[in-house]
Amino acid sequence: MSTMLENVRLLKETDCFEPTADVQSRLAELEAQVRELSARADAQSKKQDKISIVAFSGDLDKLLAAMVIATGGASMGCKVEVFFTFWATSALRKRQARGGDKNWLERMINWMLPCGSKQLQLSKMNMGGMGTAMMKRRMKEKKIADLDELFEMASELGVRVFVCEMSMDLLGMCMDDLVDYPKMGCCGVSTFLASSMDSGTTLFI
Amino acid sequence: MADRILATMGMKCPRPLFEVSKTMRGMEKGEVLEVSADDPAFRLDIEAWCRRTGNALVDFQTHPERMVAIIQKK
Repeated sequence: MSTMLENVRLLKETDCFEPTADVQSRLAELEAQVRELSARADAQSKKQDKISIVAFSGDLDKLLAAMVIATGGASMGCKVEVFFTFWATSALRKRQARGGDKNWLERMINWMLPCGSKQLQLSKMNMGGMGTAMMKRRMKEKKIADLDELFEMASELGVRVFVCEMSMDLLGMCMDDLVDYPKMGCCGVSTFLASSMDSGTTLFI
Repeated sequence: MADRILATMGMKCPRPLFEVSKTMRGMEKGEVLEVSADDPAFRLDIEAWCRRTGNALVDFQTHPERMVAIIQKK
């Protein structure tokens, strides 16, 4: 489109081309339209380069899927943002609640929830933890990346991680309870929505 | 012939692409990367990766135990 604009400019500069007022105004209109269209095309192609993912489930299998897509997308040069909410926040915990700053109910909820990626279970075939253990062994044998490795890859690729403030409050967690991940942020629904509206792909897992 | 050689043998999705992406970041335009892989998903994945990232898949060969992709950075 920039070549079109250039051609119009060259035409105007040529001596033999003397447009009437009508033609000139139509040319100006055309130029404006081309500029608007090319701006829109730019915005659209940028959109295709961003992925927003909501990680809602605290199940190991679903989080694996979310993080494989996140790291895959980032490897393809896309900007990726993952929003951890509700049960998925358990995957980011690094420690059990300590006394003091939390009330008994918050400590109880903390105690019942899995603490960190190692304690997550499969959504199916868990069989009291036996199924999950078996699957983890198979993943290791087959050299399939586990959640911790995927988080490492994600941070290396610059995948942004956000945690839902409301979920943390409800589940009695704070940022200090969570693992260290570069530039991890605490956010609300509008941060996610703004990100999603700028993205060509949005997933809820 | 290739400027860099990357072996992703034994790696499973999404690691081969992660390694390709990491290696390509450190390369100059026009340089060529040779990637070997044995993940059955690699062929379609590397085609899609090149299409999306605008790099050229110059050559792809399938051998009995591995695949070799030649990618040129654009």
